[in-house]
Amino acid sequence: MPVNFQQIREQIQQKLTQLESRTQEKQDLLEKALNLLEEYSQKQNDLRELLNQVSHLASNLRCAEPSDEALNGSFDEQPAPEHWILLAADGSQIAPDPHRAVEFGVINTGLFAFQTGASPLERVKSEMLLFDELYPNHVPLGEEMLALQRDLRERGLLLTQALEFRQKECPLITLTDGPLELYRQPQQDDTLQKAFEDYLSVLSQMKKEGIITAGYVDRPRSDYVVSLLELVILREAQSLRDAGKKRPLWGVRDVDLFSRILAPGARSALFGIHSLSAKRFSMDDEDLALCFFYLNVGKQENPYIVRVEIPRFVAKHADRVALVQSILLDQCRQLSAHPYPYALHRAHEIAVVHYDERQVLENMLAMEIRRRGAEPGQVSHKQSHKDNISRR
Amino acid sequence: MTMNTGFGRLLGASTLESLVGCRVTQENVPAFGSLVRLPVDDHYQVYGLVYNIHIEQDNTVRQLAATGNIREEVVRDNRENRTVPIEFNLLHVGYEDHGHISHLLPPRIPLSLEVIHLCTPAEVVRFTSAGRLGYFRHILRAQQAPIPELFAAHLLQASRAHAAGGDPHWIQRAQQEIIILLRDDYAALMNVLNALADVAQTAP
Repeated sequence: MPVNFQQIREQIQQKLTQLESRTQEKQDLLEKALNLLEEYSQKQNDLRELLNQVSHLASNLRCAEPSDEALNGSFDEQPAPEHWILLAADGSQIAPDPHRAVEFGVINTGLFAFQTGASPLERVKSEMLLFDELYPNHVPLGEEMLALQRDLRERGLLLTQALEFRQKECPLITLTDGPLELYRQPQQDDTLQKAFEDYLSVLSQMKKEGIITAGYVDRPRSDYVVSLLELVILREAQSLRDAGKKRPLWGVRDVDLFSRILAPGARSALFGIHSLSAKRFSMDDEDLALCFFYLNVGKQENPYIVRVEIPRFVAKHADRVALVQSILLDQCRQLSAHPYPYALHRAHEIAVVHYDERQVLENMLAMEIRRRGAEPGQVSHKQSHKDNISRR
Repeated sequence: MTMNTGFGRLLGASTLESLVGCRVTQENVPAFGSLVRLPVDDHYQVYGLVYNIHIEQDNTVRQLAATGNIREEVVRDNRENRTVPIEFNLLHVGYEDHGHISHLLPPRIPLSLEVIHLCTPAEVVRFTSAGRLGYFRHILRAQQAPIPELFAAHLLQASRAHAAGGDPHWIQRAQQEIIILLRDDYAALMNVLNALADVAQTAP
């Protein structure tokens, strides 16, 4: 059966009508949030105290922690040095599918090295996961673990390459797509915990070697700063116990605030991330705590706000923050129609695994199994019927 | 000493022609009309003439083109690293099997990713001297190629190779053959002869 377009059309109309009725309400909330941001722009100590008070009441609260910079501050781009190196990594994976003739997984990691004044370099690292590797601790390798392993390999490759490039006497920045906080973080799982520790170890080595690292979050949906401002409202209403549950500014996102504040090329104040998972980063070393700023990579008539995550060992040096800002802007200007760091785009292009490549890998594997006198398994009946549908 | 004449790889092929991709910084990027060979195995290779050299578009390149000041490093990346920026067609004009050159169409087509080699002057002389210039009919039959220009470019390359090998009269025989082949098509003949007149001014 095809999609019932008539039903969907009615739903679209109904939902858009509801949205229209909420537009004014959201606008009012945004104005309120902007006023609060201005009112508290220099009251960092008050907000820190408030946050400290709330963290005893709501352990799952996720919001921004103010730095010493004015909350509504806007920091213009500084000129970048003439020479710098940017290493960007991205990963792609094939998740094991028990319905295929041969079960396997692949993690493909692409690295793009951009050096001023030289031809850029590409690196790709492909790893096939087979047999026991697909069942760590006798449990099937889930999407979550595979994504964590991919993230780990991205960071590992960045570190290895950064150490190779480090001899050059110019600043070196490593960049990944998405937050520095991992895709999923360990709760009780030992394997995830081990992978997380490995990740922290990579970050520690980067700190030790003086390598700047950042995570670039395109179109962020976060409301860390808005959540911080909500605490002020809850305090006035004497309902701090509801922090994290009641959302008096719900619907307003940080990008709404900062697209009104930041001129093209400007960054916001620095903030820390206050959350349980972020706290894990700084348990052993405060310098690994996660910080962020918003950056307007758009144009005067069309602001485009992104979030940049950096560890504290970068955030605490103003010159390093300025360097990250100017290099990201430089990179985004290369693709100015849809600003996005060129190096990250290229790393993705290098890493991405296409569907037809999955088929080639499966065939390679099946051929090798046959060459060794064995027989690969069969496609499951369910997959076989699915393939028939897609061929129609 | 073996010359490294490989410059690109086969992307697709039919009996009549092939599609080849190469990178711009590789040495020996062929000129329009160059004679090339595609070795399929130790005893068999296909010969072709380069035409329709073009740069494939992609969305990244489109975006970069719309950007005011692109960094030189980005330009180099797109020319040197990104996948096969230059493509061209090869018009098949013959083949070689166990040392015997034929100007018939190749009985077996080359396979994807075969390496394409630019013919050396000696190889050009060897191919164009074999038989009675029968491969000209493949050029005349080409649907998409600018036939007069392709003839002119090929004859310029071949006549130089023959002249250097001690046969300055090869081009006259080639022109005679073209006149014979096009005797019933005055318009086409004039187009080709006009292009060859330009060759005469350039050739040794």
